[in-house]
Amino acid sequence: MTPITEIVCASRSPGCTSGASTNGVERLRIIRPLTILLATLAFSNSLAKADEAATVRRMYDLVKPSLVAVKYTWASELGSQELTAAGVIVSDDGLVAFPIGIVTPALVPDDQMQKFKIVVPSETADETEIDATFQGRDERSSLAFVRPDSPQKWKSIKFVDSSPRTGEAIYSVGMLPKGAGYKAIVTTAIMSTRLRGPVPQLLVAGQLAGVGAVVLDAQGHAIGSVHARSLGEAILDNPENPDDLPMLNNPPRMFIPTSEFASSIENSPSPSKPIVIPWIGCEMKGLEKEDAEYFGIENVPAVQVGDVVPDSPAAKAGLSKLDVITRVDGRQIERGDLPIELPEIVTRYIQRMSVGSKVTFSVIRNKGDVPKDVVLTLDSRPREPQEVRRFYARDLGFVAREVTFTDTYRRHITAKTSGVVVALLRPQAAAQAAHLGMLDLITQMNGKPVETLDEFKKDYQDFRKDRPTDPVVLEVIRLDGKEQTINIQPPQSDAQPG
Amino acid sequence: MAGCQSEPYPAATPQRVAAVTAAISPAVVRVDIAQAIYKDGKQSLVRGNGSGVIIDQQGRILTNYHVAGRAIEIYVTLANKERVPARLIGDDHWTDLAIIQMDMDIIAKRQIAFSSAQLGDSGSLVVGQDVMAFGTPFGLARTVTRGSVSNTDRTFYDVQQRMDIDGYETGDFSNWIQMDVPINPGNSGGPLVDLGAKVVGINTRGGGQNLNFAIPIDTAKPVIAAILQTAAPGKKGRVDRSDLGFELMPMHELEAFYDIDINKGVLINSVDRIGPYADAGGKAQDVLLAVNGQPTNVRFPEEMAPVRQRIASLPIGSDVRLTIKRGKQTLTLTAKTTLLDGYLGEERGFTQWGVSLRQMTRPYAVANQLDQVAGVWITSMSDGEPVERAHLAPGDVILSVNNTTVTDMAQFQGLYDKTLAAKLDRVALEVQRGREVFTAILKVKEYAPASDPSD
Repeated sequence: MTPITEIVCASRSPGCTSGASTNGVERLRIIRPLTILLATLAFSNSLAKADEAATVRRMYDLVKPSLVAVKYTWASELGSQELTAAGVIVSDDGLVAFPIGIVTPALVPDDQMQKFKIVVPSETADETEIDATFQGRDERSSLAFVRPDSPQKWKSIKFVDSSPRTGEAIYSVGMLPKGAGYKAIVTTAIMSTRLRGPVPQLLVAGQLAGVGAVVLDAQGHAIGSVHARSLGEAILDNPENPDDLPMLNNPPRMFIPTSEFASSIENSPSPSKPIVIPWIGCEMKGLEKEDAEYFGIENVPAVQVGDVVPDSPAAKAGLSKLDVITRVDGRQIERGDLPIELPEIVTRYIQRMSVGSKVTFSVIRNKGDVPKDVVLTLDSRPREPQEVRRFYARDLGFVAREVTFTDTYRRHITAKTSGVVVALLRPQAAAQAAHLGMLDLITQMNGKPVETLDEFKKDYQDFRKDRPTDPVVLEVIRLDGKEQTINIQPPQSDAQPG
Repeated sequence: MAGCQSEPYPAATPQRVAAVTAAISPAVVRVDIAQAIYKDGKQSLVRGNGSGVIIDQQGRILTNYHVAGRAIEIYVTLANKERVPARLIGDDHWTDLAIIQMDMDIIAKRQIAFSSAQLGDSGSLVVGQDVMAFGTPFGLARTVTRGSVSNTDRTFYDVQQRMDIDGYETGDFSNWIQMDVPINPGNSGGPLVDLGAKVVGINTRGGGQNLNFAIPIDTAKPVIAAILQTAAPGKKGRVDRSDLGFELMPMHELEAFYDIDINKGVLINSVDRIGPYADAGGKAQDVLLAVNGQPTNVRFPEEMAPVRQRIASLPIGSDVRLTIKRGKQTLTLTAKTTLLDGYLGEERGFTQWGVSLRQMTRPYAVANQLDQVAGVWITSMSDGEPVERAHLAPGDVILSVNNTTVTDMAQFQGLYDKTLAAKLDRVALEVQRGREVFTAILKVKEYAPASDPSD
């Protein structure tokens, strides 16, 4: 199942972030030689001692009972696939947190994630699989949650907010893939430094025990967790290569402190209470040093407003393009290591507020301006492609989903444009042969404007039933904004290609 | 070769082939060129070679745009192996043609002999007719090959993908001669000749096996005339065409859907958001029936080029009557044609800023979903120079310089020169990147090279 649905759409809505995803990689490259040096020192000094061995064993025993694997079946229109991630029990009644990467690589819709199981490993017997229910995801903390369907008496990990000092001993306990029997592993490391950025990350000298591992300080407090460096890394069992042990071959060296995800565990989502993410609706760019000088605000982290989405909270508050935001809610913007991180820092601040609450930006236009306060009332973020409903036009081989804000925004057309969007094309099927494209916005079918997904579905099914040999003519707007007439010749046999 | 005229499709007897070779060879040249391209914010040269055919006694040579277009240095080597400098008179990427002029002073001074080839009539070509190609495949000058015409109206129309030469659109206005005559890279620009020793095409595409393509000489004739008419000392000749700002699609298999008679009209598949047809109230899915009362029927892709050519030949800036069918209604819209512009506008280098920029064009603005046709956009940057240090990127559009709006390349050049003359060490640019708009500050003085006498 390689051609995954909406890779192109993987960027988030505007007004939320601008991509700085490569930063972590860059930073890692610079820091690596240092890390190796420190790691060597750490191992020679501390590991030899016998009482140290006892401490390591204690950490292992402390965390091991709270480690489980989370497994689900991703049932897409083209087939299904089983995916597994490392999970941690975070409440005594059995709430399990696991890395979101496993549910977002292709922006998998909630209803395509089925048959959740919590896998409890055992050293003496086969692992136990317990039916579970998906609770939701919180992309602000990159965590997703499941809960067992039957009550469990499990030992949970209580994460505490504590910042280890450079040089302190760090332990981590994580889980190996199924191919290695879901064994728990423990590692030791030394706290190295704290990196600033959209999400603070703590760098260690030594290694950590894989994505999802619990990180502990010398007192045995769970002070953080290891997050995936890439989307695929969150997957514990690589179906194409069951012997793959990434956590051993390329062990992580950074973890996220508890402060970044504690509230997410505390206010974890549930099927009846999904996470609603606030949104202001404008592009932002971090000011470089030269830019700050030009605006007379040396040494003040600031962001400049780019495009402002019509009717968004930013537009309603009167924010306009090229405005420079110097303070948020009266406070200076938290520093990043690079200016490119500043918009993400502001976005993260806003996303942790609640919809309906107010945020105040202090804004200037030109050098020497007295900052003017602009008050925005946060709205909820427009729906994302994985949050909307879909319809599988099986016989012609394409999936249509409801139109989202991103679909209209990227085409510079009004957000009120109605239609449906191509979310998947079955290889070699009639729709693909007629050059219907991924993410094409279908505005008309057989000469009739497309209003809603339900209507589209009904019209499509009626047409295919009443006139099975007639072509289906679609009018689409491509990603580049060009219109295109697509003439899909119906298949002449029932053979299902692809 | 007077005897050749009597037979309609003379056969390639050995005697005939030898006679045609003798007649045409003295008019065929090897063309060596250097083209200026912008790379890493600086101008650099790219060298190449191709072929050409001398078309008159003034020493003008017809070749391909992709051989000599945009060339800043040209040498031609004649059949007698004499090499003389030449210069570009004019070019037209839409038909992939260029005209160059040999340096006649040198020809006269060195008493170099040459002859010119007669242009024939590609409209009368028939499939199966023997033809010959002359040129410089892989640099091997004076190579003669032969074969026959395989198809006379080959089209590469593809609604998904347009043909281009380094980003410059091509092939819109005519179909191709397909032949099995062997041609290879370097044959480009050389003549395809019938057995009456007349040029029927310019060898342009192919280069392997036996599927090769030439531009019909009937397509070239008006291009030659237009280039020669518009060329002047210091000014390149060009072909001006009209545009209506839409994309067309053949009606085949859509007639029933649009409830239209077979062989009637052409589908307007896409309408440029900025352009004459949009201004006239036109919409995608209109079926264009006639322009100024003349039917525009495109049932099959092969019929597309002539209709495009007809629209292109309308007087620029004139009002045209467009008869269209929209749903059940037949309507007449009036649109004002505009000068056909390509995706890529003029490119210039700005060394003090370490950047090369292109003029914004209407098609570029439309394709990149920009709201207006204004500004200049970055094509390349030099590392460590002001534009790169300000974290700008290729594709960024410069909208203003120190709060003055950029309208076009010439005006931008003025703004740039002014900042240099005033020795400004900080320049504020307003930049658009996708939907982002931001201010970027160039630190100029610090990084400008120490006074360069040649600058």
